[in-house]
Amino acid sequence: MDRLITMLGEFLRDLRAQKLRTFLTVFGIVWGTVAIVVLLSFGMGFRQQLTVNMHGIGESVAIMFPGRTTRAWQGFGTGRSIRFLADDVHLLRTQVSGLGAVSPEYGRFSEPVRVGENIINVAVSGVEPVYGDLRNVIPEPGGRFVNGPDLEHRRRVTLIGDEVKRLLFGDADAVGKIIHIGDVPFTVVGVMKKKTQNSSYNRRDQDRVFIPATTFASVFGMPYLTNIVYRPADPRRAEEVQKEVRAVLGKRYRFDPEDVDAVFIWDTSEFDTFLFVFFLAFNIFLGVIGAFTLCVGGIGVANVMFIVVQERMLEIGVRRAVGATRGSIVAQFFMETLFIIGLGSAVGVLLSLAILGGLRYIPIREFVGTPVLSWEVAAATALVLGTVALAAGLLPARRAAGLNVVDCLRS
Amino acid sequence: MVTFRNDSAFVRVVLGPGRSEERRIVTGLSDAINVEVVEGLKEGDELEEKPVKKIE
Repeated sequence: MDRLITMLGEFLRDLRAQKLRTFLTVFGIVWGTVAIVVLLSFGMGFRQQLTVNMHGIGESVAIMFPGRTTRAWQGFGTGRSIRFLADDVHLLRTQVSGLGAVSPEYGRFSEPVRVGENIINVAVSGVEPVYGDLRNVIPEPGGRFVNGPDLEHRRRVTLIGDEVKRLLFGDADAVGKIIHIGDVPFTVVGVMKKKTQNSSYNRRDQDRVFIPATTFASVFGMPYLTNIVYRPADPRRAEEVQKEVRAVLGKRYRFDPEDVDAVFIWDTSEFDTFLFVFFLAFNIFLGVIGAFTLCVGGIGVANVMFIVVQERMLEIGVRRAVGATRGSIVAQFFMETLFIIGLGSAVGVLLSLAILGGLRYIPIREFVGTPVLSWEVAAATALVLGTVALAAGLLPARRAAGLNVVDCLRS
Repeated sequence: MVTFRNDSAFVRVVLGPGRSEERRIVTGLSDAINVEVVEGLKEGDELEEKPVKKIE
């Protein structure tokens, strides 16, 4: 303990003696630490935001659309349209074992929706209650999504997108009010919570209104579904579930299960795989940039320490002559380097926190997110700092310890 | 506030600070916004809102 205090004292004395040099060395470490922390935090925040944006359409859901056969099968020719009926959903629910949840979706691309004198054209979708969870159509507090009794009683109720609400009602409350879809009055039971959605089919959810599937069928009299949305129970088995779905529908509509054009399936879980791989590479790239910057700082520290060793040759000689071991010389210089790097990284971390705090106020969140100082970032930074400190500290210290005592005294 | 599951309706009743329990109720008339509770709750029971799902 005493020795540590002595060393600290020596270190501070050194600092004072060489103000500019110390400042520049410490600054190298500060700069490197800021670079690695801010870059990695930015990468993590970017990943998080992009994931949220991509999940605007739902988490690992697949959306299947009707298509046309392109292969002859069981005596049928090519070019037959395959279209979905409402009971196909029931068929899938009972026949496909790996299916977690499934909802039909009826759709009209453009229907006039009216409140008082405001008329806009929106997309109308007829769905089941589970659709809200599947597609992340989340009601604002105080409202709700389509529910079981709605479906059962074919209620004329609707959840409206936040943009539809804004255009029809402005700032006024919408829940409980009546809107006319075409000529049919519907009660608004919920407003969608604002979300970012960077992929869509049939317009974005903010520009749509959702009504119970049964109501849709009776109001618009459409026998065919526009699509079916499902989520596999286990997202890792998405491909097998896709095959099962094709097999089940292929049996019913007589098409080749290998005929991918008969039913088009858009698997959004591919996003997640893509994001994982992309951001792994991206963050490694950012990490490497940060690590190199820090290494440059480390080289600076090591250089300065070599100079310090040179300057203190006499001191080292005297100490060794009166019985100091090589180990204690190593410890002295190593600790001094650790002090410099410790000081630099502490200032660096504080500066990074300030920068990250400031970045929160720049309105770029929807696109690149806010930087996140996660434990992964902290661990990566600590690892790089540790390595740099070890290398920058050990080399000069070993040089100091390895010096010949007589040569030192002679200097 | 009401959860419909397999032809039954449930609500979460607040028991004390931070504690709640799910209770089955029997519903009567409804206009899709309001719902009559015929059985399962007494006057003065406090109910818990459902947590709002967050996209992440």
